Amino acid sequence: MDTLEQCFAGKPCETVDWDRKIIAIKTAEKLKEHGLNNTYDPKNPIPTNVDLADDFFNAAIELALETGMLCLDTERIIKVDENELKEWIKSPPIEPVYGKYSDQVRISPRKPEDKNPAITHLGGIGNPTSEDLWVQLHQSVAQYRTVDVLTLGTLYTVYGTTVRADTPYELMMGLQEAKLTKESTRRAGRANMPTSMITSSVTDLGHFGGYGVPGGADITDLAVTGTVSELKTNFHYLNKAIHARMIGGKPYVLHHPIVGGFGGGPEGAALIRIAASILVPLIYQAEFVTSQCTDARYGINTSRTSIWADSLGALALSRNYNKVFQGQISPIAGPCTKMLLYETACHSINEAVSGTSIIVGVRSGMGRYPDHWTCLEDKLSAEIIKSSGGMKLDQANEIVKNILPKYEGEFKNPPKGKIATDCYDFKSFKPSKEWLEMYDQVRKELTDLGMALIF
Amino acid sequence: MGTSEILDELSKVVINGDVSSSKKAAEKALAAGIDPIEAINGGLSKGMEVVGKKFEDFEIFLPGVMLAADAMKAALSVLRPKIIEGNEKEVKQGKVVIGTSTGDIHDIGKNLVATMLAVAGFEVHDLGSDVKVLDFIKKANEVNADIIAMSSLMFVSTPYQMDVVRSLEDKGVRDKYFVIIGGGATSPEWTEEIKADGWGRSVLDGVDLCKRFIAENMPRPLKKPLYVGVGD
Repeated sequence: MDTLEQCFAGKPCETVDWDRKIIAIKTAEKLKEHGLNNTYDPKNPIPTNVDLADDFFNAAIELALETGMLCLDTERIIKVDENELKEWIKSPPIEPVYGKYSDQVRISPRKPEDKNPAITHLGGIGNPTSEDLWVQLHQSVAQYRTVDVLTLGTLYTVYGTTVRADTPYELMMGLQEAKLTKESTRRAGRANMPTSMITSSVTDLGHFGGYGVPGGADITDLAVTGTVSELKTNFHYLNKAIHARMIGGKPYVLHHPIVGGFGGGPEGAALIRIAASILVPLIYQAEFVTSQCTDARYGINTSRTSIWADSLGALALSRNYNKVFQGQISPIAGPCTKMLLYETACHSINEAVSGTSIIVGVRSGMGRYPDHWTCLEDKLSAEIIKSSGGMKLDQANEIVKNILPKYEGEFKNPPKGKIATDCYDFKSFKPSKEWLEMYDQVRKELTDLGMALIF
Repeated sequence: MGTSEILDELSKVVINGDVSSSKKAAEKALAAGIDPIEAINGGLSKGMEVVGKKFEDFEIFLPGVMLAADAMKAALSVLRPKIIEGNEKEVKQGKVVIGTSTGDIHDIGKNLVATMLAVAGFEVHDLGSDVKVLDFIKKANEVNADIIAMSSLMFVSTPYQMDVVRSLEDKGVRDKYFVIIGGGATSPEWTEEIKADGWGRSVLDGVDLCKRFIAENMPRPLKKPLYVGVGD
């Protein structure tokens, strides 16, 4: 209630001032005050200096307290009290539970180099997906037991009609997404598998259409809501979170800091990732935050700068914050390309070794082309994440250092890859020979680099 | 101070985002008898190219680019009124109405393109995010725009880009504007499907696209869309 009241009674601030005078200036100030400028080390994409991560964490607490969030609808600032934030950080761990019966999943906080592997949250993740292929594509991911939680694509038609955001079509789409997905998990023999919904929803309409309604998403599924970078919210996003809570659901929130944006370079994005992961759950009354430090030049987070920022943010959180948080994998290349698998491998290793609790992906081809994703990149990601328990930071750094040069020159001209039906057989539920060979080659390269793949 | 030093100073005020000095540098150029067109093309524009390269190399970030845009605008406010009538075309970059499509409030990419366009000397009318179809058209008509630029990260907002093109056609004004799109949910294929004029993959690709439309005086609408930054 306090959050909502502050949307109407908080300090007024125009959005342009928020971006340029609050976020840009405060982030730069905190980096300077804590001596964190120019700490980005491109030669070591996964930082091994954990003291640096602790310094970032302390700076991020100050940033969170001094900024708060901006409500875009009222242009007022929502702040959190210092005692409340510090008590939240010190309070006992929270381990959210999703799904039912044998498919139930408990998400626990992790530490860097943790022996317990992260929870895998894989699937379509916002990639545009046709109604015709929706069931099979998501079924193909759910068939793998290494995938704990299913994430969904974006359903862009409903009964063959184009969905426009913020119209009755979006409302209908919400229920359709949930119904089709339940059919996917049922066919995979995992009817109670937890799933994040309503992924296709842009405004709150899609959420209201599909979450917690008869035939729709169950309240044991993950309710997805969002923010606007950096540290901005609106009533659509708050509506989703509050509605999910009201009916007994457990929302989580997307917040993606921008490397090169108002927070500055990788150091600024890392700082904002940490601040958002602590602050946003309090404001939204949500379980956790998903973050990816998005490279502003390409819209993905598999570049060297993004990997470093994401790793540092995750290290800071896993060492100092005993709650769960989520990392995201967003490559630029499309399916049936080795580049997609290299990108997937680098970021899966990165988040896993840095102590991230739950890892969501794989957003193949940054979600640009319909049906341009398959379960094979998710399979590889899950195998890496589940094999990374106990991996050391320096070992992970060496592997990533070897893989990054194989693809980082291609960001300006990335391969689109193939549509799912051209590289995956949905009758036998097997990848094409060409795609499988690429997968086998990349797995071998990883093994040769010392990655012990146990699946 | 000679002409080359003054042009160099103009370039540097843009690179450094030095808003307080940019007007003075422009006034100094005029006082030294430098043609305003030369001051823009030989000074400010060169600075803009450096700013673009620095962003691409991540030597500067959005706040620095915005300061460069502010410095560019301040200098242009001094130089543009002094351009001899009839010569405006030599430095004209055009007017752009820009915003994110209906339902989509992700605006960082759009902000970067709008800012880079301003750095490049375009007159930019930024409508913000979640912009309604008719608001794009009303603003473009009001300011006599050359280009309508729409961004979308969310797939279910992209149909509204098609609606803008369709509305322009229905109102009989499609030939007044170039329509370009960008953002993570857009592609060359979508550009062609909705009959837009262009698509750029990155921020600088979008700026390059707009510059080419104006510099090459292309017909509106294009028979075939122009793409910058297309993959395989």
